[in-house]
Amino acid sequence: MHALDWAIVVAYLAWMVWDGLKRSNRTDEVEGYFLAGRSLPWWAVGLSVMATQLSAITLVGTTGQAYATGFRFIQFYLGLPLAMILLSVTVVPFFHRAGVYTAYEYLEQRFDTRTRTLAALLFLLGRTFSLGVVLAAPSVVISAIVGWSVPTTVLVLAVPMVVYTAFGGVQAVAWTDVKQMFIIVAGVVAAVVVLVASLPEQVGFGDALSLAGATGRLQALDYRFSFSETYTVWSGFIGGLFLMLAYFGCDHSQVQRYLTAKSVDEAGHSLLMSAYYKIPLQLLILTTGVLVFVFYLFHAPPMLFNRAHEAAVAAGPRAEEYRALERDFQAAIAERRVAAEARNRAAFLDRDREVNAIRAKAVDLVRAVSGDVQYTDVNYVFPTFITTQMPVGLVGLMIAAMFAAAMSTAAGELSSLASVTIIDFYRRHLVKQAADAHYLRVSKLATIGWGLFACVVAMSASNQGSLIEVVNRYGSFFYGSLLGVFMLAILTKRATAAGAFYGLIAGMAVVLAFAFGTSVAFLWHNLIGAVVVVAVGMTISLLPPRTAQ
Amino acid sequence: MCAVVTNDRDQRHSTDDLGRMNDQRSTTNLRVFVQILLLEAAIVLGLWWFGRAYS
Repeated sequence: MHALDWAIVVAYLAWMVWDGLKRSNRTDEVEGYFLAGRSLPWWAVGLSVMATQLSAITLVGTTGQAYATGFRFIQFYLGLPLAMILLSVTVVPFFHRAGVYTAYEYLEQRFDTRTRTLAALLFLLGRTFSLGVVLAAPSVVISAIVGWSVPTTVLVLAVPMVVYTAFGGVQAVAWTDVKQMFIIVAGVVAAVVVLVASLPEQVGFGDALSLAGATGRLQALDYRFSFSETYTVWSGFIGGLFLMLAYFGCDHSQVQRYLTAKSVDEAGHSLLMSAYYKIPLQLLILTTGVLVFVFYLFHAPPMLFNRAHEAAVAAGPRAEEYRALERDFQAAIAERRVAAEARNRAAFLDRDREVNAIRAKAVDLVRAVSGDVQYTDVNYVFPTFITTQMPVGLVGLMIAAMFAAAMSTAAGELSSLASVTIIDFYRRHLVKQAADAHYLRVSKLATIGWGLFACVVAMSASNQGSLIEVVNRYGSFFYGSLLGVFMLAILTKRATAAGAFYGLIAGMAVVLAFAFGTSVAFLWHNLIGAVVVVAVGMTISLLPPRTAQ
Repeated sequence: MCAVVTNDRDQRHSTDDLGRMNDQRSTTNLRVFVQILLLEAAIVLGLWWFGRAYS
């Protein structure tokens, strides 16, 4: 990497820490630290909501998935706009009127302490692992680029983020999110411009789309109704709706964002910003991945995008086998390029299939030699493009954008983990009466503690298949059940504390059974969890109370 | 006495104003919701057309 690119990355990191710490003088009480004194404008909260959701996983994993399979991933977001509308008129007013610090505090007001504690515990379990994966994604990228170890990279990324989150509180998180969101969008737009400008003279943008379309990459919608297919229109609209309702309505990493808004209306507007812009933004990111595929039709791609693995295999006991594959690969991509330039659709598709088959053999070889059976090449596609094909200066901007995406998500999650730890556990169960200064001090310690713990998780979660799916799978273990218990709380007055508590346990048990015992795709787990909690919870609630003997 | 009447009238006016503001807010919200759903429908239709046109 060029010195200018490094300078941009270092300047970005310094700016974020400085900007975050600038906010620390306004966080001298717990409400300021965790809720910004409920004072933020809707547009800042809205950008913070979007930045928290748009992680480095979105940049690295989604572009990689689009490179490999195209636009299909967009179906994941089909339920989001409706979810935002529903949340802005239901959950948001409830939380604001209840005056709570955390989403789970409301469950005690409505049901009892054990339901609140169990829900908060589920959040902590799910979010901790998710935070680890969120930190791991850019660490994989940077370590592949500069040759650092993954643990070193995790620390370089996490330490500045933990510093400004721990000392600046949620205000630092929200205002750095705003800046980070602009850096991310600028980076993606820059990548799209470079990709379009890199097309050969004789290949127009329409030709590029035709080539991508011929391989099925522009087929965004899959109308088949299948429980085992991960991304379909139905899993997106129905399973995705429940996932988004749960994520934005019950996951404190998002609820905390809109609790910082200065009024109910501003909180509602902040969510509607995602309803307007999330799908278009996601389409822009997916388009980037598809354009990277087109780019590599006319510029020689590496057989493996992870150069570290490639070097290890090439120097290992099966090096000769690898070299033979490399020769076949070079021949196949040369023929594919000729067919693409000649617009010979049949020959192009044949050669593309051949290229994919050779690459699959190379990936299998890596798995066999390294023993890493989870290895997937898609996470390295976009980083490789950035570092080898983008001009000096823009490489730094793109790396900064990846840092921004990772830090915005991780900081929001870190702040929410500390908030739930202190408000729902420490202040509720351990030290019930203490000065505000005491809670503020332990809140900062909790933020630092969770940051360290997340680093450890990140170091062991850096290679678990497609990263975007890993984090969503983790979330889907818990989200449906959490949503179910909030539905019981908000939608019906007849649900009892016992119904909510045992319904939540039943929902979790059923989701885990489905996750490990069936091939039902993870998006459906959210629907299953919510339905089971509501059904079991209402059944128990409607049972006649036992009378004393 | 007059002051009380005036206050009542003021109170009535502000209640009316609040009611009108609430109605306006509901109408605005409804318009925003419809806009969002129409935008999503347009995106889905666009994706469907796009997939067909470039397949």
